Amino acid sequence: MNELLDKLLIKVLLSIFICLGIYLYKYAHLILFPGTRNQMFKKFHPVRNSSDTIFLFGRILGIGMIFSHFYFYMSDGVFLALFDFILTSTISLILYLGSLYIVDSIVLYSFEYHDEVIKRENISYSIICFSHAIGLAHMMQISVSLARDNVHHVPIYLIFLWLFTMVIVGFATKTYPLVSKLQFNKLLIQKNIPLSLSYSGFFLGICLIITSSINHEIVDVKEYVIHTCLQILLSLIILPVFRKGLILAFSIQETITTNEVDQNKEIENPTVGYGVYEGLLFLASCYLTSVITDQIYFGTFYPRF
Amino acid sequence: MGKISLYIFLIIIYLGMSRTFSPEMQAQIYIKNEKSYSKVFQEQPLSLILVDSFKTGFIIKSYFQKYLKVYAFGPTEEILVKTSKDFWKKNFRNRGMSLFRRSDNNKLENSTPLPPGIIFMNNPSFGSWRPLPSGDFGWFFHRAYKNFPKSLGWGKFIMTRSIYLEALNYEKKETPYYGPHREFGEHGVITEKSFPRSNLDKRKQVDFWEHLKDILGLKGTSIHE
Repeated sequence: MNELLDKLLIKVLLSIFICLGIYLYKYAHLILFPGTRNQMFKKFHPVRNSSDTIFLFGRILGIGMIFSHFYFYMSDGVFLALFDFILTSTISLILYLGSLYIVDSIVLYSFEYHDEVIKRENISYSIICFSHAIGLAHMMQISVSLARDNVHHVPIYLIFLWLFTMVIVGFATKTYPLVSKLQFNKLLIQKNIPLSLSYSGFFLGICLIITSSINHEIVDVKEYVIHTCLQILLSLIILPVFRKGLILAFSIQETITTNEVDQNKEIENPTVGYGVYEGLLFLASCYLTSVITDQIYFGTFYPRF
Repeated sequence: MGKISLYIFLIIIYLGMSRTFSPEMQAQIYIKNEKSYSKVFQEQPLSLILVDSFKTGFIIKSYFQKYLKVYAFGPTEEILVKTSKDFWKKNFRNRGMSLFRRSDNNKLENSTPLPPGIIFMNNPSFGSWRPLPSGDFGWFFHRAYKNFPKSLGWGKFIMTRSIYLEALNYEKKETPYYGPHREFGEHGVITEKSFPRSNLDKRKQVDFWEHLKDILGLKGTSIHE
Protein backbone atom coordinates (compact mmCIF):
# COMPACT_ATOMS: atom_id res chain seq x y z
CA MET A 1 0.00 0.00 0.00
CA ASN A 2 2.84 2.36 0.92
CA GLU A 3 4.48 1.74 -2.45
CA LEU A 4 1.23 2.45 -4.27
CA LEU A 5 0.76 5.70 -2.40
CA ASP A 6 4.37 6.65 -3.07
CA LYS A 7 3.96 6.02 -6.81
CA LEU A 8 0.70 7.95 -6.84
CA LEU A 9 2.40 10.88 -5.14
CA ILE A 10 5.18 10.93 -7.77
CA LYS A 11 2.59 10.80 -10.55
CA VAL A 12 0.67 13.71 -9.02
CA LEU A 13 3.92 15.67 -8.70
CA LEU A 14 4.72 15.01 -12.35
CA SER A 15 1.22 16.09 -13.39
CA ILE A 16 1.75 19.33 -11.50
CA PHE A 17 5.07 19.78 -13.27
CA ILE A 18 3.41 19.31 -16.68
CA CYS A 19 0.71 21.81 -15.69
CA LEU A 20 3.47 24.19 -14.66
CA GLY A 21 5.08 23.71 -18.07
CA ILE A 22 1.78 24.51 -19.77
CA TYR A 23 1.32 27.55 -17.51
CA LEU A 24 4.81 28.75 -18.38
CA TYR A 25 3.79 28.55 -22.04
CA LYS A 26 1.64 31.62 -21.34
CA TYR A 27 4.82 33.61 -20.77
CA ALA A 28 6.56 31.99 -23.72
CA HIS A 29 3.55 33.04 -25.82
CA LEU A 30 4.22 36.64 -24.78
CA ILE A 31 7.84 36.36 -25.92
CA LEU A 32 6.82 34.79 -29.24
CA PHE A 33 3.95 37.21 -29.86
CA PRO A 34 4.78 40.42 -27.95
CA GLY A 35 1.54 42.27 -28.83
CA THR A 36 -0.75 39.79 -27.06
CA ARG A 37 -0.16 40.77 -23.41
CA ASN A 38 -3.70 42.01 -22.75
CA GLN A 39 -5.30 39.08 -24.56
CA MET A 40 -3.23 36.49 -22.70
CA PHE A 41 -3.85 37.72 -19.16
CA LYS A 42 -7.55 38.47 -19.37
CA LYS A 43 -10.26 35.81 -19.24
CA PHE A 44 -10.30 33.44 -22.19
CA HIS A 45 -13.65 32.99 -23.99
CA PRO A 46 -13.38 30.15 -26.49
CA VAL A 47 -16.88 30.84 -27.82
CA ARG A 48 -15.90 34.33 -28.95
CA ASN A 49 -12.79 33.36 -30.87
CA SER A 50 -12.67 29.72 -32.03
CA SER A 51 -9.61 30.52 -34.09
CA ASP A 52 -7.63 31.34 -30.94
CA THR A 53 -8.94 28.18 -29.24
CA ILE A 54 -7.63 25.98 -32.07
CA PHE A 55 -4.31 27.82 -31.99
CA LEU A 56 -3.85 27.58 -28.23
CA PHE A 57 -5.01 23.99 -27.79
CA GLY A 58 -2.79 22.85 -30.66
CA ARG A 59 0.19 24.02 -28.66
CA ILE A 60 -1.08 22.57 -25.39
CA LEU A 61 -1.54 19.21 -27.13
CA GLY A 62 1.95 19.56 -28.58
CA ILE A 63 3.48 20.16 -25.16
CA GLY A 64 1.58 17.15 -23.82
CA MET A 65 2.89 15.00 -26.68
CA ILE A 66 6.48 15.93 -25.85
CA PHE A 67 6.01 14.91 -22.23
CA SER A 68 4.47 11.60 -23.29
CA HIS A 69 7.90 10.21 -24.23
CA PHE A 70 9.71 11.11 -21.03
CA TYR A 71 10.97 8.58 -18.52
CA PHE A 72 11.46 9.01 -14.84
CA TYR A 73 14.30 6.71 -13.74
CA MET A 74 13.92 6.29 -9.99
CA SER A 75 16.68 3.71 -9.54
CA ASP A 76 19.36 6.43 -9.11
CA GLY A 77 17.32 8.35 -6.56
CA VAL A 78 14.57 10.97 -6.73
CA PHE A 79 16.90 13.93 -6.96
CA LEU A 80 18.79 12.66 -10.02
CA ALA A 81 15.57 11.48 -11.67
CA LEU A 82 13.98 14.88 -11.11
CA PHE A 83 17.11 16.70 -12.31
CA ASP A 84 17.30 14.65 -15.54
CA PHE A 85 13.58 15.06 -16.13
CA ILE A 86 13.59 18.83 -15.57
CA LEU A 87 16.74 19.37 -17.66
CA THR A 88 15.55 17.32 -20.65
CA SER A 89 12.01 18.64 -20.50
CA THR A 90 13.13 22.28 -20.25
CA ILE A 91 15.46 21.90 -23.23
CA SER A 92 12.76 20.06 -25.20
CA LEU A 93 10.17 22.73 -24.43
CA ILE A 94 12.51 25.56 -25.46
CA LEU A 95 13.47 23.72 -28.66
CA TYR A 96 9.83 22.90 -29.41
CA LEU A 97 8.77 26.51 -29.08
CA GLY A 98 11.80 27.52 -31.16
CA SER A 99 10.83 25.09 -33.91
CA LEU A 100 7.24 26.39 -33.88
CA TYR A 101 8.53 29.94 -34.23
CA ILE A 102 10.89 29.00 -37.09
CA VAL A 103 8.32 26.95 -39.06
CA ASP A 104 5.61 29.60 -38.60
CA SER A 105 8.10 32.24 -39.79
CA ILE A 106 8.99 30.18 -42.88
CA VAL A 107 5.48 29.14 -43.91
CA LEU A 108 3.42 32.11 -42.69
CA TYR A 109 6.06 34.79 -43.33
CA SER A 110 3.51 37.30 -44.64
CA PHE A 111 0.96 36.74 -41.87
CA GLU A 112 0.90 37.98 -38.26
CA TYR A 113 -0.64 36.04 -35.38
CA HIS A 114 -2.17 39.20 -33.95
CA ASP A 115 -3.83 40.20 -37.23
CA GLU A 116 -5.00 36.77 -38.30
CA VAL A 117 -6.12 35.19 -35.03
CA ILE A 118 -7.08 38.08 -32.74
CA LYS A 119 -8.41 40.58 -35.26
CA ARG A 120 -9.58 38.58 -38.30
CA GLU A 121 -10.34 35.27 -36.50
CA ASN A 122 -8.85 33.37 -39.44
CA ILE A 123 -9.64 29.71 -38.69
CA SER A 124 -7.63 28.60 -41.70
CA TYR A 125 -4.51 30.21 -40.18
CA SER A 126 -5.22 28.50 -36.83
CA ILE A 127 -5.67 25.07 -38.42
CA ILE A 128 -2.31 25.46 -40.15
CA CYS A 129 -0.68 26.46 -36.83
CA PHE A 130 -2.44 23.50 -35.16
CA SER A 131 -0.92 21.07 -37.68
CA HIS A 132 2.50 22.69 -37.14
CA ALA A 133 2.12 22.19 -33.38
CA ILE A 134 1.14 18.51 -33.68
CA GLY A 135 3.65 17.61 -36.41
CA LEU A 136 6.60 19.29 -34.71
CA ALA A 137 5.65 17.79 -31.34
CA HIS A 138 5.72 14.32 -32.87
CA MET A 139 9.14 15.09 -34.34
CA MET A 140 10.40 16.39 -30.99
CA GLN A 141 9.00 13.26 -29.29
CA ILE A 142 11.11 11.03 -31.55
CA SER A 143 14.18 13.28 -31.14
CA VAL A 144 13.88 13.05 -27.33
CA SER A 145 13.60 9.27 -27.36
CA LEU A 146 16.53 8.99 -29.82
CA ALA A 147 18.73 11.30 -27.75
CA ARG A 148 17.78 9.43 -24.57
CA ASP A 149 18.71 6.08 -26.15
CA ASN A 150 22.30 7.32 -26.37
CA VAL A 151 22.35 7.73 -22.56
CA HIS A 152 25.34 10.12 -22.62
CA HIS A 153 25.28 13.68 -23.97
CA VAL A 154 21.47 13.72 -24.18
CA PRO A 155 21.15 17.55 -24.46
CA ILE A 156 23.85 17.70 -27.17
CA TYR A 157 22.18 14.97 -29.24
CA LEU A 158 18.82 16.65 -28.69
CA ILE A 159 20.10 19.99 -30.00
CA PHE A 160 21.84 18.27 -32.94
CA LEU A 161 18.64 16.38 -33.88
CA TRP A 162 16.58 19.52 -33.52
CA LEU A 163 18.88 21.52 -35.82
CA PHE A 164 19.01 18.68 -38.34
CA THR A 165 15.23 18.18 -38.44
CA MET A 166 14.63 21.92 -38.65
CA VAL A 167 16.75 22.15 -41.80
CA ILE A 168 14.85 19.24 -43.40
CA VAL A 169 11.44 20.62 -42.36
CA GLY A 170 12.39 24.06 -43.65
CA PHE A 171 13.17 22.67 -47.09
CA ALA A 172 10.19 20.30 -47.08
CA THR A 173 7.60 23.02 -46.36
CA LYS A 174 8.76 24.87 -49.47
CA THR A 175 7.63 21.94 -51.65
CA TYR A 176 3.92 22.48 -50.94
CA PRO A 177 3.29 24.32 -54.25
CA LEU A 178 4.72 21.28 -56.07
CA VAL A 179 2.18 18.85 -54.61
CA SER A 180 -0.90 21.06 -54.39
CA LYS A 181 -2.99 22.96 -56.90
CA LEU A 182 -3.98 25.52 -54.28
CA GLN A 183 -2.40 28.97 -54.03
CA PHE A 184 -1.29 29.18 -50.42
CA ASN A 185 -0.98 32.92 -49.67
CA LYS A 186 -3.93 33.99 -51.80
CA LEU A 187 -6.34 31.48 -50.27
CA LEU A 188 -5.09 32.01 -46.72
CA ILE A 189 -5.94 35.71 -46.95
CA GLN A 190 -9.47 34.60 -47.98
CA LYS A 191 -9.67 32.44 -44.79
CA ASN A 192 -10.07 29.39 -47.02
CA ILE A 193 -10.63 26.26 -44.90
CA PRO A 194 -9.96 23.70 -47.71
CA LEU A 195 -6.47 25.16 -48.07
CA SER A 196 -5.76 24.67 -44.37
CA LEU A 197 -7.03 21.07 -44.52
CA SER A 198 -4.91 20.34 -47.56
CA TYR A 199 -1.83 21.95 -46.00
CA SER A 200 -2.39 20.16 -42.67
CA GLY A 201 -2.39 16.79 -44.44
CA PHE A 202 0.76 17.79 -46.30
CA PHE A 203 2.60 18.98 -43.19
CA LEU A 204 1.63 16.00 -41.02
CA GLY A 205 2.63 13.73 -43.92
CA ILE A 206 6.12 15.22 -44.25
CA CYS A 207 6.52 15.05 -40.47
CA LEU A 208 5.71 11.32 -40.62
CA ILE A 209 8.31 10.77 -43.35
CA ILE A 210 10.96 12.80 -41.53
CA THR A 211 10.36 11.07 -38.19
CA SER A 212 10.52 7.63 -39.79
CA SER A 213 13.76 8.67 -41.53
CA ILE A 214 15.46 9.99 -38.39
CA ASN A 215 14.25 7.14 -36.20
CA HIS A 216 17.38 4.97 -36.13
CA GLU A 217 20.28 4.58 -33.75
CA ILE A 218 22.98 7.26 -33.68
CA VAL A 219 26.34 5.51 -33.64
CA ASP A 220 28.36 7.93 -35.73
CA VAL A 221 26.96 11.39 -36.56
CA LYS A 222 28.27 11.39 -40.15
CA GLU A 223 26.82 7.96 -40.88
CA TYR A 224 23.57 8.95 -39.21
CA VAL A 225 23.18 12.04 -41.42
CA ILE A 226 23.93 10.02 -44.58
CA HIS A 227 21.53 7.25 -43.59
CA THR A 228 18.77 9.79 -42.86
CA CYS A 229 19.30 11.56 -46.21
CA LEU A 230 19.14 8.20 -47.99
CA GLN A 231 15.93 7.31 -46.16
CA ILE A 232 14.36 10.61 -47.22
CA LEU A 233 15.49 10.06 -50.79
CA LEU A 234 13.98 6.56 -50.71
CA SER A 235 10.74 8.03 -49.38
CA LEU A 236 10.69 10.49 -52.30
CA ILE A 237 10.95 7.51 -54.66
CA ILE A 238 8.23 5.45 -52.92
CA LEU A 239 5.77 8.30 -52.21
CA PRO A 240 4.57 8.84 -55.83
CA VAL A 241 3.95 5.09 -56.14
CA PHE A 242 1.41 5.16 -53.31
CA ARG A 243 -0.08 8.49 -54.40
CA LYS A 244 -0.62 7.25 -57.93
CA GLY A 245 -1.70 3.83 -56.65
CA LEU A 246 -4.41 5.28 -54.40
CA ILE A 247 -5.73 7.48 -57.23
CA LEU A 248 -5.82 4.52 -59.64
CA ALA A 249 -7.27 2.03 -57.13
CA PHE A 250 -10.30 4.19 -56.36
CA SER A 251 -10.55 5.87 -59.80
CA ILE A 252 -10.31 9.26 -58.10
CA GLN A 253 -11.41 12.18 -60.27
CA GLU A 254 -9.71 15.21 -58.75
CA THR A 255 -11.94 17.86 -60.33
CA ILE A 256 -15.39 17.83 -61.87
CA THR A 257 -14.01 18.59 -65.33
CA THR A 258 -12.37 15.80 -67.33
CA ASN A 259 -10.39 18.19 -69.51
CA GLU A 260 -6.68 17.49 -68.92
CA VAL A 261 -5.67 21.17 -69.31
CA ASP A 262 -8.24 22.20 -66.70
CA GLN A 263 -7.12 19.40 -64.36
CA ASN A 264 -3.56 20.70 -64.24
CA LYS A 265 -4.64 24.31 -63.60
CA GLU A 266 -4.51 25.90 -60.17
CA ILE A 267 -7.87 25.77 -58.42
CA GLU A 268 -9.20 29.25 -57.66
CA ASN A 269 -12.05 28.40 -55.33
CA PRO A 270 -11.62 24.92 -53.83
CA THR A 271 -14.41 23.08 -52.06
CA VAL A 272 -13.98 21.53 -48.60
CA GLY A 273 -14.10 18.12 -50.29
CA TYR A 274 -11.11 18.96 -52.44
CA GLY A 275 -9.10 20.23 -49.46
CA VAL A 276 -9.90 17.12 -47.43
CA TYR A 277 -9.08 14.88 -50.40
CA GLU A 278 -5.71 16.55 -51.11
CA GLY A 279 -4.67 16.54 -47.47
CA LEU A 280 -5.74 12.99 -46.70
CA LEU A 281 -4.33 11.59 -49.93
CA PHE A 282 -0.92 13.05 -49.10
CA LEU A 283 -1.12 11.96 -45.45
CA ALA A 284 -2.13 8.40 -46.38
CA SER A 285 0.60 8.18 -49.04
CA CYS A 286 3.20 9.46 -46.57
CA TYR A 287 2.10 7.01 -43.89
CA LEU A 288 2.25 4.06 -46.30
CA THR A 289 5.65 5.28 -47.49
CA SER A 290 6.97 5.40 -43.94
CA VAL A 291 5.73 1.82 -43.45
CA ILE A 292 7.74 0.67 -46.45
CA THR A 293 10.92 2.62 -45.76
CA ASP A 294 11.01 1.96 -42.03
CA GLN A 295 9.60 -1.44 -41.28
CA ILE A 296 10.94 -4.01 -43.71
CA TYR A 297 13.53 -6.25 -42.12
CA PHE A 298 15.54 -8.46 -44.42
CA GLY A 299 16.98 -10.62 -41.65
CA THR A 300 19.85 -12.73 -42.97
CA PHE A 301 18.53 -12.74 -46.54
CA TYR A 302 21.51 -10.69 -47.67
CA PRO A 303 25.06 -11.45 -46.45
CA ARG A 304 26.69 -8.97 -44.08
CA PHE A 305 30.29 -7.84 -44.53
CA MET B 1 7.87 13.33 -69.48
CA GLY B 2 9.58 15.80 -67.15
CA LYS B 3 8.18 14.05 -64.08
CA ILE B 4 9.36 10.64 -65.32
CA SER B 5 12.87 12.01 -65.98
CA LEU B 6 12.94 13.52 -62.47
CA TYR B 7 11.79 10.22 -60.99
CA ILE B 8 14.50 8.24 -62.81
CA PHE B 9 17.04 10.87 -61.76
CA LEU B 10 15.97 10.41 -58.10
CA ILE B 11 16.38 6.62 -58.36
CA ILE B 12 19.86 7.01 -59.89
CA ILE B 13 20.86 9.49 -57.16
CA TYR B 14 19.56 7.13 -54.47
CA LEU B 15 21.41 4.11 -55.83
CA GLY B 16 24.58 6.16 -56.40
CA MET B 17 24.51 7.65 -52.89
CA SER B 18 23.80 4.26 -51.32
CA ARG B 19 26.68 2.72 -53.25
CA THR B 20 29.07 5.52 -52.30
CA PHE B 21 28.19 6.10 -48.68
CA SER B 22 26.77 2.87 -47.33
CA PRO B 23 29.45 1.29 -45.10
CA GLU B 24 28.32 -2.20 -46.11
CA MET B 25 28.75 -1.43 -49.77
CA GLN B 26 32.15 0.14 -49.13
CA ALA B 27 33.33 -2.99 -47.35
CA GLN B 28 32.51 -5.21 -50.33
CA ILE B 29 35.34 -6.52 -52.49
CA TYR B 30 34.34 -7.00 -56.08
CA ILE B 31 36.11 -9.58 -58.23
CA LYS B 32 35.04 -9.20 -61.82
CA ASN B 33 37.32 -11.90 -63.27
CA GLU B 34 40.73 -13.53 -62.71
CA LYS B 35 42.51 -10.28 -63.61
CA SER B 36 41.02 -8.58 -60.51
CA TYR B 37 42.88 -10.85 -58.03
CA SER B 38 46.21 -9.18 -58.59
CA LYS B 39 44.95 -5.71 -57.58
CA VAL B 40 42.90 -6.85 -54.60
CA PHE B 41 45.37 -9.29 -52.99
CA GLN B 42 48.85 -7.85 -52.62
CA GLU B 43 50.52 -10.41 -50.31
CA GLN B 44 53.15 -12.95 -51.40
CA PRO B 45 53.55 -15.93 -51.29
CA LEU B 46 49.82 -16.41 -51.44
CA SER B 47 47.29 -19.07 -52.31
CA LEU B 48 43.64 -18.12 -52.72
CA ILE B 49 41.29 -21.08 -52.26
CA LEU B 50 37.64 -20.96 -53.27
CA VAL B 51 35.75 -22.53 -50.36
CA ASP B 52 32.16 -21.63 -51.18
CA SER B 53 29.99 -19.87 -53.73
CA PHE B 54 26.35 -18.82 -53.41
CA LYS B 55 23.88 -16.32 -54.79
CA THR B 56 21.33 -14.15 -52.97
CA GLY B 57 18.47 -11.88 -53.94
CA PHE B 58 14.78 -12.10 -54.74
CA ILE B 59 14.57 -11.00 -58.38
CA ILE B 60 17.94 -9.43 -59.07
CA LYS B 61 20.58 -11.90 -57.96
CA SER B 62 23.94 -11.06 -56.39
CA TYR B 63 26.78 -13.55 -56.74
CA PHE B 64 29.22 -14.24 -53.92
CA GLN B 65 32.35 -16.32 -53.46
CA LYS B 66 34.05 -17.15 -50.20
CA TYR B 67 37.83 -17.52 -50.33
CA LEU B 68 40.41 -18.76 -47.92
CA LYS B 69 43.48 -16.57 -48.14
CA VAL B 70 46.50 -18.67 -47.16
CA TYR B 71 49.42 -16.31 -46.71
CA ALA B 72 52.74 -17.68 -45.52
CA PHE B 73 53.58 -14.82 -43.16
CA GLY B 74 50.19 -14.01 -41.70
CA PRO B 75 47.02 -15.58 -40.40
CA THR B 76 44.73 -17.50 -42.74
CA GLU B 77 41.64 -15.40 -43.51
CA GLU B 78 38.18 -16.09 -44.87
CA ILE B 79 37.13 -13.42 -47.36
CA LEU B 80 33.66 -12.91 -48.83
CA VAL B 81 33.66 -11.21 -52.22
CA LYS B 82 31.03 -10.16 -54.71
CA THR B 83 31.58 -11.35 -58.25
CA SER B 84 30.14 -11.28 -61.75
CA LYS B 85 27.61 -13.89 -62.85
CA ASP B 86 29.91 -15.26 -65.58
CA PHE B 87 32.92 -15.60 -63.29
CA TRP B 88 30.73 -17.17 -60.58
CA LYS B 89 29.36 -19.75 -63.04
CA LYS B 90 32.80 -20.41 -64.50
CA ASN B 91 34.23 -21.29 -61.08
CA PHE B 92 31.19 -22.98 -59.57
CA ARG B 93 32.78 -26.42 -59.97
CA ASN B 94 36.19 -25.23 -58.72
CA ARG B 95 35.31 -25.27 -55.02
CA GLY B 96 38.27 -26.32 -52.91
CA MET B 97 40.74 -25.30 -55.64
CA SER B 98 43.37 -22.61 -55.56
CA LEU B 99 42.17 -19.98 -58.04
CA PHE B 100 45.04 -17.56 -57.61
CA ARG B 101 48.67 -17.92 -56.58
CA ARG B 102 51.59 -15.59 -56.22
CA SER B 103 55.11 -16.90 -55.52
CA ASP B 104 57.50 -15.13 -53.16
CA ASN B 105 60.73 -15.00 -55.15
CA ASN B 106 59.82 -13.58 -58.54
CA LYS B 107 56.19 -12.51 -57.82
CA LEU B 108 54.92 -14.87 -60.52
CA GLU B 109 51.14 -14.91 -60.61
CA ASN B 110 48.85 -17.61 -61.93
CA SER B 111 45.10 -18.08 -61.93
CA THR B 112 44.66 -21.55 -63.41
CA PRO B 113 42.53 -23.64 -60.98
CA LEU B 114 44.90 -26.13 -59.29
CA PRO B 115 44.85 -28.10 -56.03
CA PRO B 116 45.54 -25.78 -53.07
CA GLY B 117 49.10 -25.30 -51.83
CA ILE B 118 50.99 -25.99 -55.07
CA ILE B 119 52.66 -22.58 -54.68
CA PHE B 120 54.32 -23.64 -51.40
CA MET B 121 55.56 -26.97 -52.77
CA ASN B 122 59.10 -27.59 -54.01
CA ASN B 123 60.16 -24.49 -52.05
CA PRO B 124 62.80 -25.41 -49.41
CA SER B 125 61.72 -22.45 -47.25
CA PHE B 126 58.42 -24.19 -46.51
CA GLY B 127 59.21 -27.90 -46.47
CA SER B 128 60.97 -30.82 -48.13
CA TRP B 129 60.36 -33.94 -50.21
CA ARG B 130 60.60 -37.17 -48.31
CA PRO B 131 60.47 -40.69 -49.76
CA LEU B 132 57.21 -42.63 -49.39
CA PRO B 133 56.76 -46.45 -49.23
CA SER B 134 55.16 -46.27 -52.69
CA GLY B 135 58.50 -45.12 -54.11
CA ASP B 136 57.23 -41.59 -54.80
CA PHE B 137 58.18 -38.53 -52.76
CA GLY B 138 55.75 -36.75 -50.47
CA TRP B 139 55.77 -33.07 -49.52
CA PHE B 140 56.12 -32.33 -45.81
CA PHE B 141 56.00 -28.81 -44.39
CA HIS B 142 58.54 -27.57 -41.81
CA ARG B 143 57.47 -27.34 -38.19
CA ALA B 144 56.82 -23.56 -38.53
CA TYR B 145 54.19 -24.31 -41.17
CA LYS B 146 52.72 -27.41 -39.51
CA ASN B 147 49.19 -25.96 -39.78
CA PHE B 148 49.39 -25.57 -43.55
CA PRO B 149 47.98 -29.02 -44.48
CA LYS B 150 44.91 -28.20 -42.37
CA SER B 151 44.58 -24.64 -43.72
CA LEU B 152 44.97 -25.84 -47.29
CA GLY B 153 42.33 -28.49 -46.76
CA TRP B 154 44.66 -31.44 -47.39
CA GLY B 155 43.93 -33.08 -44.06
CA LYS B 156 45.85 -36.38 -43.99
CA PHE B 157 46.26 -36.46 -47.76
CA ILE B 158 49.92 -36.40 -48.82
CA MET B 159 50.77 -34.45 -51.95
CA THR B 160 53.31 -36.36 -54.00
CA ARG B 161 55.93 -35.19 -56.45
CA SER B 162 54.03 -36.84 -59.35
CA ILE B 163 50.90 -34.83 -58.50
CA TYR B 164 53.00 -31.69 -58.25
CA LEU B 165 54.65 -32.25 -61.64
CA GLU B 166 51.32 -33.06 -63.27
CA ALA B 167 49.84 -29.88 -61.78
CA LEU B 168 52.71 -27.86 -63.26
CA ASN B 169 52.00 -29.39 -66.68
CA TYR B 170 48.35 -28.39 -66.45
CA GLU B 171 49.39 -24.91 -65.30
CA LYS B 172 51.47 -24.51 -68.44
CA LYS B 173 48.51 -25.58 -70.58
CA GLU B 174 46.27 -23.21 -68.50
CA THR B 175 43.86 -26.10 -67.85
CA PRO B 176 42.32 -26.86 -64.45
CA TYR B 177 43.74 -29.90 -62.67
CA TYR B 178 41.61 -31.68 -60.06
CA GLY B 179 44.11 -34.30 -58.85
CA PRO B 180 44.78 -37.86 -60.12
CA HIS B 181 41.38 -39.16 -58.93
CA ARG B 182 39.53 -35.80 -58.91
CA GLU B 183 40.11 -35.48 -55.16
CA PHE B 184 39.76 -31.68 -55.43
CA GLY B 185 37.03 -29.48 -56.89
CA GLU B 186 33.24 -29.96 -56.71
CA HIS B 187 32.37 -33.48 -55.41
CA GLY B 188 36.08 -34.19 -54.78
CA VAL B 189 36.63 -36.38 -51.72
CA ILE B 190 39.10 -34.00 -50.06
CA THR B 191 37.10 -30.86 -50.90
CA GLU B 192 33.83 -32.31 -49.57
CA LYS B 193 35.58 -33.17 -46.32
CA SER B 194 37.49 -29.91 -45.86
CA PHE B 195 35.22 -27.31 -47.48
CA PRO B 196 31.61 -28.58 -47.50
CA ARG B 197 29.15 -26.37 -49.38
CA SER B 198 27.17 -24.11 -47.04
CA ASN B 199 24.11 -24.00 -49.33
CA LEU B 200 23.36 -20.45 -48.25
CA ASP B 201 21.31 -19.92 -51.40
CA LYS B 202 19.23 -23.03 -50.74
CA ARG B 203 17.61 -21.91 -47.52
CA LYS B 204 16.07 -24.27 -45.03
CA GLN B 205 12.66 -25.32 -46.35
CA VAL B 206 10.01 -24.50 -43.76
CA ASP B 207 6.87 -26.60 -43.95
CA PHE B 208 3.92 -24.27 -44.58
CA TRP B 209 1.47 -26.21 -42.37
CA GLU B 210 3.98 -26.30 -39.52
CA HIS B 211 4.45 -22.56 -39.92
CA LEU B 212 0.66 -22.00 -39.88
CA LYS B 213 0.30 -24.16 -36.76
CA ASP B 214 3.07 -22.15 -35.15
CA ILE B 215 1.31 -18.86 -35.92
CA LEU B 216 -2.07 -20.10 -34.66
CA GLY B 217 -0.48 -21.57 -31.52
CA LEU B 218 -1.67 -25.11 -32.36
CA LYS B 219 1.79 -26.64 -32.05
CA GLY B 220 1.67 -29.25 -29.23
CA THR B 221 1.96 -27.03 -26.16
CA SER B 222 -0.01 -28.67 -23.39
CA ILE B 223 -0.91 -27.09 -20.06
CA HIS B 224 1.26 -29.62 -18.23
CA GLU B 225 4.43 -28.57 -20.10
